[in-house]
Amino acid sequence: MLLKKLPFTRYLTTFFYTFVFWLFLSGHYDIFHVTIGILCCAGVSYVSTDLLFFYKADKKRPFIVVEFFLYTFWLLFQIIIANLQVARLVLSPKLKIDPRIVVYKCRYLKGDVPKATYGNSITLTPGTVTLDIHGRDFYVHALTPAFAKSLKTGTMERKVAHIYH
Amino acid sequence: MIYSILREDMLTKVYENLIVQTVCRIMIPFIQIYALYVIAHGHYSPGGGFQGGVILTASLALIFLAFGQGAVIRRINRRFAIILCALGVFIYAGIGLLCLLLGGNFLDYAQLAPILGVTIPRARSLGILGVEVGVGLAVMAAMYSIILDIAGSPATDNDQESIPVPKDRTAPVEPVA
Repeated sequence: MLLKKLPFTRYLTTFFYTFVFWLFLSGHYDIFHVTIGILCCAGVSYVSTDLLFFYKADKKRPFIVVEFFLYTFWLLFQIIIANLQVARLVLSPKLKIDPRIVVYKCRYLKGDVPKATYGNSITLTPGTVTLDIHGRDFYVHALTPAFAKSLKTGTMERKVAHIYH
Repeated sequence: MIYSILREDMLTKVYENLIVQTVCRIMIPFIQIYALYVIAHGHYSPGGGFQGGVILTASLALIFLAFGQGAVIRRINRRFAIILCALGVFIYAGIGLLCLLLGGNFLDYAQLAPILGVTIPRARSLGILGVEVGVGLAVMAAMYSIILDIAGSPATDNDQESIPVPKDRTAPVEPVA
């Protein structure tokens, strides 16, 4: 059990979030169950605090949660559109698919969390799947050249960059 | 085109994927809390020691897959896993035998009521909780050590006793006349 020493406030923050999650799950709010919850959350925050991180923006962004929420609605709309496109492709008897792997070089995103958000957004949208991220290069599998082209316009990346940067 | 993106370092080094690692870092503490919730509420709701222990092992396996063997052995090393496994079985069998010694059947929790100083239904509830903690520990540690044994070579344990190579295997091969 050789764990790296971290600032005590980070343990406290992890404890707070895990305990909120515990109370949400538990549904029993008597002393006995809350005590078990405190013990479990203390154990988890001792073991896993170095994993859980909290995103620090380079500037102060008080409405980052709201912006992220709005972005998910935009993403949902994109997912519905792409779903219909993929359905039209695969249901047509000609099956006009032409799969390819394209490399997309991102221009604005810095840091792990924005890149992971963007990669997951590409994967969630039907027709495109992020295979890998190396530095600024996103290796994306696209079902047709049209999907690859709409990826290259970089609209989604600008939206993600607008949340985080 | 697919060959051009398969580079040398993907095949030789520990393969790190940014998306997998970032998502795992957010998920793992909450998976662990969920596992402990399943163990602790096994006497009220579906779940219990075995299920919770398996979810706990799943969180450790996720650390293993995303960050490699060193990250997971730094948390629980092989020897500690075996100790936890034995401790879990000890808790389970200890509670059962305690009931036996107090004049009841094996795992007859009602006999624990005088020791704990509570009513008989409360003693049953606490006894089941204790047994489930034992089962959860044993399952978690046993499955964890199985995963380590399947996946890892002991030589890569950095803070662990490595199994010594037998002398005759390292000895230089005698030229056959």
